Amino acid sequence: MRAMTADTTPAPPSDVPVLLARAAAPGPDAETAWRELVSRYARRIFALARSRRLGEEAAEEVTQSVFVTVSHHLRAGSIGGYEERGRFESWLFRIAVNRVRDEIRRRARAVATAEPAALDACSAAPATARPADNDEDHLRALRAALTRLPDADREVVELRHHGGLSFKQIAETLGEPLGTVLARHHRALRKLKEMMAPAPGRKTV
Amino acid sequence: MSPRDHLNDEPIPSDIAGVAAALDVLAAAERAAAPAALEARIAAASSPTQPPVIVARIGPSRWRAAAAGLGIAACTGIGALLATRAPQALVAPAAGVSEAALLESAEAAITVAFADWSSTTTASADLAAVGKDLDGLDPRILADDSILTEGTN
Repeated sequence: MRAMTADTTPAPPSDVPVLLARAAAPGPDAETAWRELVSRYARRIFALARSRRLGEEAAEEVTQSVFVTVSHHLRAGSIGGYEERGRFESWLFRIAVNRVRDEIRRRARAVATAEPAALDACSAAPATARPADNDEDHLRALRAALTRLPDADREVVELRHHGGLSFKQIAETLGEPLGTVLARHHRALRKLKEMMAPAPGRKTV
Repeated sequence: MSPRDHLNDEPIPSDIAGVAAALDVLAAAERAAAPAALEARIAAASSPTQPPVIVARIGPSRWRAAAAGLGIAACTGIGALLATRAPQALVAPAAGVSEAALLESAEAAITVAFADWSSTTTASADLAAVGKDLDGLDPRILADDSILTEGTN
């Protein structure tokens, strides 16, 4: 695989506790603070959902429901324990992971119960927009390889790369020891490297 | 430089650094491919300053989930139809519409959407049965309480 460059790395949020406090306080500033919070995290959660092969609408729905949950906690005044930045992100992505799991289960049930005629009318999830250059094939292959990972390994990879979390945050999100998360990530990437191993005559990752 | 250097994170071993970099590119592409108005729509639909009218926070795919619960897989055709109807539920709270009126509107929207779809699809026989079920559907069930929890797993 040729070298590629990431163009949108999640920005380091340094003032999340302040934003949460502003969003929870009554007054005109609450809406501004809420929009800022959503702007910081919505695309990361959306990407996490899209990586699980959810369509664009479903991914947006999952993202929206995550923020509805956060909003509910803010309104109820029950978000205080998560105001420290790292813990908030772990909590936020735990909600996201659970919502994605719920959606995947829901879809599996729907497919299992659908009539064949209705299934025939269905189409696959729309393809994600891709870079317009020759990296497109490589990204598509990598995305396909991701789906062949065991779920536990795949979640670590997606939280790391799509969610932009640190290993410590991933450990908190999944309730696993840090060493386990590191081992899963390393194992998963080695598997991906093997799966992406080129045919003779192509460059390696 | 790693994209997560600011997190003071564990280093990525050199033997898998290339794969890690490729995954970062893939993730960046997914984020960049999100709809342009994603943040604005979500901020408006989930704002803690808005009235807690649950059905107002439901987007098109949640409507499709209701269809799935009735035995229909999520389909592009029905999704497109519902997407054209659902926005009225999203704008209603800002316009000061009562919850009762909102629910009535949502019920009418989903019923009409299914009726439209059933008249244009080859699976109309199956959908006719679903349409009958929808006649008595309380739109509140579309809210799906799970959206107000941290999930079930």
